[in-house]
Amino acid sequence: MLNLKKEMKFVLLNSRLTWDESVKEEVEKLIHENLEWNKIIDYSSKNKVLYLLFDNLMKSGYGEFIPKYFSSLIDDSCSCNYLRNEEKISELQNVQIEMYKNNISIAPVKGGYLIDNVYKNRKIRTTNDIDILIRRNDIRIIDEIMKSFGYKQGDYKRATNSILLPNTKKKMLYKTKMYNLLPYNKINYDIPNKTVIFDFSFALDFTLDTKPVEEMLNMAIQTENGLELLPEHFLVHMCCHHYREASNVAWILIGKDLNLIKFCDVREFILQKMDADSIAKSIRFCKKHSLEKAMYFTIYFTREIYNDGYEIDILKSLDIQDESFLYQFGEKDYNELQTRKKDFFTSLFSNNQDEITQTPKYESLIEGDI
Amino acid sequence: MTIIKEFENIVMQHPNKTALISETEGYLSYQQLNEYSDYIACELLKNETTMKTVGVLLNRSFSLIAAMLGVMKAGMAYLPLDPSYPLERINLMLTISKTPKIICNDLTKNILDKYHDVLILKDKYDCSSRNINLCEATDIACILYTSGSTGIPNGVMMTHESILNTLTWAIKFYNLSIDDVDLQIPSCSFTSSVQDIFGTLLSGGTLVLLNENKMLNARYLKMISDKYQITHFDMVPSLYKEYLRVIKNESTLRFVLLAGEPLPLNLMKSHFERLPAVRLFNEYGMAETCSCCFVKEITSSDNIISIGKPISNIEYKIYDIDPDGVGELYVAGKGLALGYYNNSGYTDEKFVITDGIRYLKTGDFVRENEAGELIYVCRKDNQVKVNGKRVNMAEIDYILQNDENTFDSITTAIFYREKQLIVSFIKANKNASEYYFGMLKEKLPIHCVPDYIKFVDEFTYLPNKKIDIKRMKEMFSNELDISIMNSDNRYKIIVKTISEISKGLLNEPDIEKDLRQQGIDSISFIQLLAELEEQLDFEFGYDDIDNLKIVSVKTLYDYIISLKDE
Repeated sequence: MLNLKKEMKFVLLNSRLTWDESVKEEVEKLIHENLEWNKIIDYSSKNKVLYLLFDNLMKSGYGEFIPKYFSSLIDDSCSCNYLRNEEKISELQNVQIEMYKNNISIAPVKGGYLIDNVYKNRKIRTTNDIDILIRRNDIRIIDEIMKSFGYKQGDYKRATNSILLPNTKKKMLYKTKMYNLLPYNKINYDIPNKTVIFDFSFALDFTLDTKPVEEMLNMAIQTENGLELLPEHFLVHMCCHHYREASNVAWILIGKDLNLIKFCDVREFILQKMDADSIAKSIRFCKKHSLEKAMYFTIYFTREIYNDGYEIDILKSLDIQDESFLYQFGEKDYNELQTRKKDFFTSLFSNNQDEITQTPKYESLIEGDI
Repeated sequence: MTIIKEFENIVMQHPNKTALISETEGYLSYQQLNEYSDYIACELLKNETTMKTVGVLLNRSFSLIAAMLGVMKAGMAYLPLDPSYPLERINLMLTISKTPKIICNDLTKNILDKYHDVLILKDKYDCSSRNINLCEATDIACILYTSGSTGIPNGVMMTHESILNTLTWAIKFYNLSIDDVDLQIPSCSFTSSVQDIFGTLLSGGTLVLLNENKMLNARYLKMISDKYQITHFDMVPSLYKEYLRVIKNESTLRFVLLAGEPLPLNLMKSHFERLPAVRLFNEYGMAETCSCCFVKEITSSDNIISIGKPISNIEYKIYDIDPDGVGELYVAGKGLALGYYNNSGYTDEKFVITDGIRYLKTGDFVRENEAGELIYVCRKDNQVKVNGKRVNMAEIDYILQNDENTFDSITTAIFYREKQLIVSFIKANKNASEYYFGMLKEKLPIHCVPDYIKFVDEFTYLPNKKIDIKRMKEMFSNELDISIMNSDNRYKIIVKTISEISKGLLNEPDIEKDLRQQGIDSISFIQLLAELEEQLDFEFGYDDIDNLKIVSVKTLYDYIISLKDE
């Protein structure tokens, strides 16, 4: 972190909800240096922390340091994000009610839960889609319910303002190899970006083992806002999600393999929602279901970024000796592991497509949507 | 009185008499067999005295017989595990019986998974233990697993006193003595073995143990019979039929005992043509009756084969008799087993109290002839209804087997694609379906004429030498599948698509084997399923793909036709 550009460092320091004095001092020091704001916008956008950073600077009274042409644009953009999140969460609530009526257990994860329960501000946390955990046995009924809400399984294409249905091979790829369903998409002209997307997962990774998610849903708590995972399970899900995206080619290709918001989510969730007991339960759950690597990866790099102190005990408890997997990817895509050439922080602030040297084996199946 | 007490009496009377002969091991006297079994009992009692059952996983050998005796001496019940049985079956028996310890030797110890607690018998053993006898008359002597109708085997608990009822009768009825030499044929896991092995040992006779690998070789059986001057043996009729092909008039053979399957009339005729001086007995029984419970000496003048009358201390009644006089045989008496091990529900279902008497529902249909003897008609489950009319497989076989062109036949019902089919498997010197259909149509009501006739060179056999009718049915169903599929365009599309996707690698795929095991990689596999959806206009659901554990040509075809049926 010492060798990072000051703009990168500035983005890292502002990618958090809670601060200590030393961080505040560093930010105070950096803001008075000659920062290149286009780089800060670039780095923070890539890492999905632009609105969080903007909000932090405004709250700290540093608004005057942001060039005005950026400031007004980000402000507008934050408002759009607010509207999008309002609509998405409202849609999530409607879906939750309908699922509940049909006796289907669903639990929101990632942004769908964190926006209101951790960030507590619908402006600052972006979310592409609404991620939900489900039981694999419920797929048929979930499909019926989502279609009754007007959703289609496919990708939104801005150029034609339509949802492109997947080809048969892509559908079969999802049915046989994926831990989640093809995304459910609906065009909503009332909101910026026009679409609401639901992503339903029944497993945590490509082993397609449904037991961990079943166990999470079985133990989830029914609240007035719907089913809520136990904190220890929520953390495990985040870890698996982050490790999965960092170690598979598909996410590297679209530039979503590593970003700061993921690690910020983990940090803030642990600080706000967890204690020693629930952390210990998370570790036990990972060991029970052979998910230790995912948790180790996530906590290891959370520590690299934030180093709040609690991380080291978690890492020790996971009993992992060989750390080479931290930089490896592509086992599913090539049947053999590749190792990243770039270090973690360089990867965090850059597009990592240059790490990809061969076409992943499933690529041919996902071309040519209808 | 117990089997062990009776055995000790014989040991005292004839210590140096040969008890066992083995082609590979030589000779073992009663005294040596007693010492060997004492050693095994002693080993079992060393660390654990609360065990109820002990598995015996041994090939036909001195060790096997000694282990059976040794387990009983230790006051436990032996559970025979024939090493020639599939490992899956052995593991299933061990799991459901919760058997804590298994006796093996160097030949069989690697059959089992490593987590089993085993006693590995040594070639040399300590002879210092003497006459261990911890069993009582009411103790369970052995547990024999029989095929259950659900596919889960049931362990029949046979006590010392119920087995002794059969043995005491058999020794007297067959006049067994120290001069008798028995060719020991039934597998240790087969109910006849109990009567065969201990009937001989409790009369001071000699058991000749066969080489397992040559059991079905009739010429080998003949050679052994001659060499050791066999006086009798117990066989299933289907094996005896082969044996009769090579046997000539035997000077030492006193009698032949057939059990385990219905005795065909033509086999009886062949017996008396070949061995006119050798007495022939037809025994009927099962594990639940501790082997034999009915017996009939068959003579050359018999026109119909009966199972005769009950043995000593056995009662019976025929339940729910129909207008033809046919009903289910219920058996009661001293020879009845205690029930099914760890399965009281099935015990209550099969052993019922009627008029204060405990009966076994045999599941066999019989009728009584004028002489008061019972005629076996068929298994309860070998009688099916076709369009509401009853069809009896035994009746079809009776006609087939009395045809001069037939060497043997077995008729069975196959439930195929939601339809009941009657299939006759025929071993004949004339493979002419038209001839047989014509002949059957003349002699049977039309609803009793089989749907299919399948000529075979040989039946398929189980390790206990009984006909493996289940496997024969499966093989026939597969043949039908292929013939039906070959005429269906959907099948042709499946095969063509596989060929195209595999770029010609699989032009003629194995229809039952998973395609992924035949060289279809994961990408091609997805392409194949997607292509089939497009070509045949359907869509796999998530559940469907989960349910297709094996993705073969056959399972894909079955799935696609099931969609049309829906």
